Amino acid sequence: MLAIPPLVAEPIFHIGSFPVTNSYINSLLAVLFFLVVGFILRKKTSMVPQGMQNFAESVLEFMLRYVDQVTRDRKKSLRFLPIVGGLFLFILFSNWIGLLPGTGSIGRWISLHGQIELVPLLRPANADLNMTLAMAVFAVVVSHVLGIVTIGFFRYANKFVKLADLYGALRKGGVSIMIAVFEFFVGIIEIFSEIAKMVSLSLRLFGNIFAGEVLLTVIAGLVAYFVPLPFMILELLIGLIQALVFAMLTLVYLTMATAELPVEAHGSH
Amino acid sequence: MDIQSIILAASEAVAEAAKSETSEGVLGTLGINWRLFIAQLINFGIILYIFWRWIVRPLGKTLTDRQARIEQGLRNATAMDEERKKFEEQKVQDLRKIRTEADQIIRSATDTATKMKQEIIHEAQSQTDKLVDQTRQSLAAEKEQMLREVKTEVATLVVTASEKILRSKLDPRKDHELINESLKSIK
Repeated sequence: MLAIPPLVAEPIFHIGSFPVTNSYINSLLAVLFFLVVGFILRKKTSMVPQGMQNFAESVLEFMLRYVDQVTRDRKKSLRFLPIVGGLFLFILFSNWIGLLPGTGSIGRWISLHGQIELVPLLRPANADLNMTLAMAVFAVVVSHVLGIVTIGFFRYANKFVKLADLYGALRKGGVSIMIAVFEFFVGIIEIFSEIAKMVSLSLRLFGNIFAGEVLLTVIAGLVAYFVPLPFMILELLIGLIQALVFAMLTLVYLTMATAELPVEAHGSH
Repeated sequence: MDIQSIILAASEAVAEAAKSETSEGVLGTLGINWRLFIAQLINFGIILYIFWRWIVRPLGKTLTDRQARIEQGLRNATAMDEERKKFEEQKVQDLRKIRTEADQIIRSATDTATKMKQEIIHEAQSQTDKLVDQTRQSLAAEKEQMLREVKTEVATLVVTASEKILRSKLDPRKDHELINESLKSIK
């Protein structure tokens, strides 16, 4: 029977009650990869770069240029780069490593749902909603934390619960009370949009990578040779684009959260 | 494998998902497991930490340092260029000054030399004239002395001869002899 990858990452074995899934193994591989690369690059800070340092520097410069375009401030860019760059490189690595032969094809025969099935040992890390949701929650939470640190708790909170605006409008009276009431409700909607951010970020990445995995399995099931190649190239592109989209959106959230509030027309600040 | 088996597998997966949704809720269907979520979050955190601590921080510092160094180097190069230009101008000015001074020194040296030459010649001339005068004077004095001495001697001789003549008897032969003798002694 053709094994279309299930929606949920399958556990390969358990440590106590913790299920070690195939996606989790892939994310551990990514950790290992970053550990090795980081260990090598850790001391490479020569003024005349060579080899790996040169490559790493060019990647960093490339990312910094992109980040600069959004933040328009090199200091801010250097602050956001570890988060945005880390997200981008991790997602890219996970997506591309999922295309290597062996992912989804080498597995263990495990009894699942009452029948013995071949459960692949490796599954793209981002084809597990736990991973993408973890990153999305992290990105949104960090944007709020940085926002609070940058512009202060009360001014930041006023973005969502616009009590200060309302108070100012009440003192001023007139039409501005009406506007402030509307804005207060818009602020409440903003809180929900923050949750929507997490859901959209995580589901977008998960959906794309999971769909890619399913697509490749189906195409490879139909015709094993050559026909899947264009689809694999497509997946390479999707892997890159999704990494870029996730990182860019996170960057935009970070920039928006740390931006100073504009002085509004009714001057309540 | 044909299309039919794929559709069959897909429909089975959908049925399975629907079944699990009823039993575990939407989150369960999507595979959300809080333990796995935390574990993946930790993994991601480790990656971010490594990326920040071992890659971005040292390399970012290197990039910033290098940029600062290049900017400093460029500034230094411009400064050195200006310095060099200034030095060149100074050099040209100094050379011009030195040349003028040298010309002045040569001119004054030539003047002094000419003056000294003329003085020396003048001195020599005056000393020569003085010497010639002295010589002439001493020569004249000597001549006068000699003449005086000659005159004295001649007078003595004449007196002696006259005495001799007067003492002897005078005959023509004797007279003649005496005269010859006197003349001989004078010679």
